[in-house]
Amino acid sequence: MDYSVQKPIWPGSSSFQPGDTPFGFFDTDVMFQQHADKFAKLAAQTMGYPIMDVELQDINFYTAFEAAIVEYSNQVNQVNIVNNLVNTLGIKTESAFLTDSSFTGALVGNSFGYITKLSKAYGTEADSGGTIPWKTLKIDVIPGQQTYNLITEISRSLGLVLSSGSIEVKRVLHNAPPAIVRYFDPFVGTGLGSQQLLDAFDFGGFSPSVSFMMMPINADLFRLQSIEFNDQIRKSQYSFEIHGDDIKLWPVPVQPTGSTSATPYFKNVFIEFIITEDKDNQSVLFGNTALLNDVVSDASNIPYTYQSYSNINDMGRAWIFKYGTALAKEMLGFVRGKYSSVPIPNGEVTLNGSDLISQGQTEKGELITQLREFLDKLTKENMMTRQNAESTQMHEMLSKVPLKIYVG
Amino acid sequence: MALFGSKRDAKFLAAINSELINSIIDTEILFYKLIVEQSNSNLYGESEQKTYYDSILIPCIITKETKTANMDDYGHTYTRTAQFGLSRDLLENAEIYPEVGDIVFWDNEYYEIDNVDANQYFVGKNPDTWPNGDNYGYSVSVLCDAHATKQTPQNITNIRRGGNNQSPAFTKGI
Repeated sequence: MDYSVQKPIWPGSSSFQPGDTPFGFFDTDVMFQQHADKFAKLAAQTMGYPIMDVELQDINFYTAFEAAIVEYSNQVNQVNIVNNLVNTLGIKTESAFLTDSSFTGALVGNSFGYITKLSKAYGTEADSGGTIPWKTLKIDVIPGQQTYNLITEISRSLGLVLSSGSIEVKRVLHNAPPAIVRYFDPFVGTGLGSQQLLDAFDFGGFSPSVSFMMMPINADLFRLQSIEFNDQIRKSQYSFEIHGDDIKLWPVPVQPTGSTSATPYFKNVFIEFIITEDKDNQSVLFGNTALLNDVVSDASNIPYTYQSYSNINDMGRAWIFKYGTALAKEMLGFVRGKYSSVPIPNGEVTLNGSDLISQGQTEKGELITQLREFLDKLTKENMMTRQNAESTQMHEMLSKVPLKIYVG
Repeated sequence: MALFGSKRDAKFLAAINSELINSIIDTEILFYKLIVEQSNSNLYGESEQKTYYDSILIPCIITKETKTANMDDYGHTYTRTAQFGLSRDLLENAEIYPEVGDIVFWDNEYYEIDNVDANQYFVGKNPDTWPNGDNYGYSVSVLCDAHATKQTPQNITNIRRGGNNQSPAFTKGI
């Protein structure tokens, strides 16, 4: 048997063909095709060829080359994702404005979409908007009955069957009548009994424009306060308590006896509430986008693809060459390390497999660390910090420039 | 079916051996193949005038022992043994097989081969004899045990004698 045929060593040259790499991510890239063979030569000669045989073949070098570009793209895209994920959440991954369905190579602008959605969640809690619809319950007050079960009233009033503790009361519209209804308008110069007349015709809240007396506004405030204070001291208060699903109303509802009764009459109490399940769902759905299909929801599906090798600059390629060579070195170490010792005539020899693996892994780790440290400086956060420092420093420098003094 | 020691691994070993023997160690011997047909023997089976083919260079790994001095009634002499490890793969390509009686010249000494052994197998398998085929194993070497011998009696050096003083050229397959 002729063992010299197809010996697994680097022959000294190669000719790349598309399909020679495991994944073929860059096989159609003309620049990649040109550089694949050059990289193979570089890596082989770095490892001692032609002084020493290198027990690797062209496809091994192509694999290392492809893997190095993939690693470089991965590192760059990690920083891209850190920079841009917050601006792209909820965007359809197949949006028409994307080139090749990818953000790779695109300058991604800022968006307040995420912040707006986040603020809606605050708005829900702060009663200033939000995404949760409020529902309104009307309780028909029964004379003599102070306590009402909210779940029962919702079922009766709105037809919603809810379980205990499933609502969150946002507002109870149960207040004393405004003082204005019993206000004697000082501007109206037609007599003090006119307000009651207007009340009778449901115009109590309006001030008829007849003739006016000039009065200071604090006089009105004092008068209104005195009416409200009178009600608080001398009458039953409008109040409520909520315990569990029950609401207890004050004052005790009475039969309608007219507005002159010492105990005020009220027929209905309105309660605004939200269903807690709605809030929970909204917080998860985050504006009905995050869990929809085909939208950016996290780092796993933000559409960043591998960089185009042709578009990577020389600095990036230099890193790729170094990392690829380290990979090839590790690969050669695995080959030479398969058998701890190799038999030779009348003896055996130990190859440097473990040294190569160790060196390759160390070099890879150092290159990754170096690239990460560099890329970390390029996050938006760090760039703004640096710009701020530059601006501050510039301001300090300019402050030391002597100011011109005008000499006439 | 064995998991290790396939032909691919054997080729890797052959490449390592080839690089080591040819490029790194790079020690070559002059190998003289005995022409048995032209080496007539006497009544006792001894051949006083042996004939050899022209020498060829063969790279190998040499283990040369120290010489042992010998002083007797015939004067001072010495003995020395050496072992020549040859790549079987290389010999196979050159179509040559060393045998007892062949001469090796190395380091200004001639050695006559006393024993030839091919018993060094990768993963313990000789692909020529393994019953499951020749896709596994690798016969690494041919080891030649030899002793230092005198020069002129072996008819190797060009001594003055009658007739054609040229040795026949070495050819493959001997």
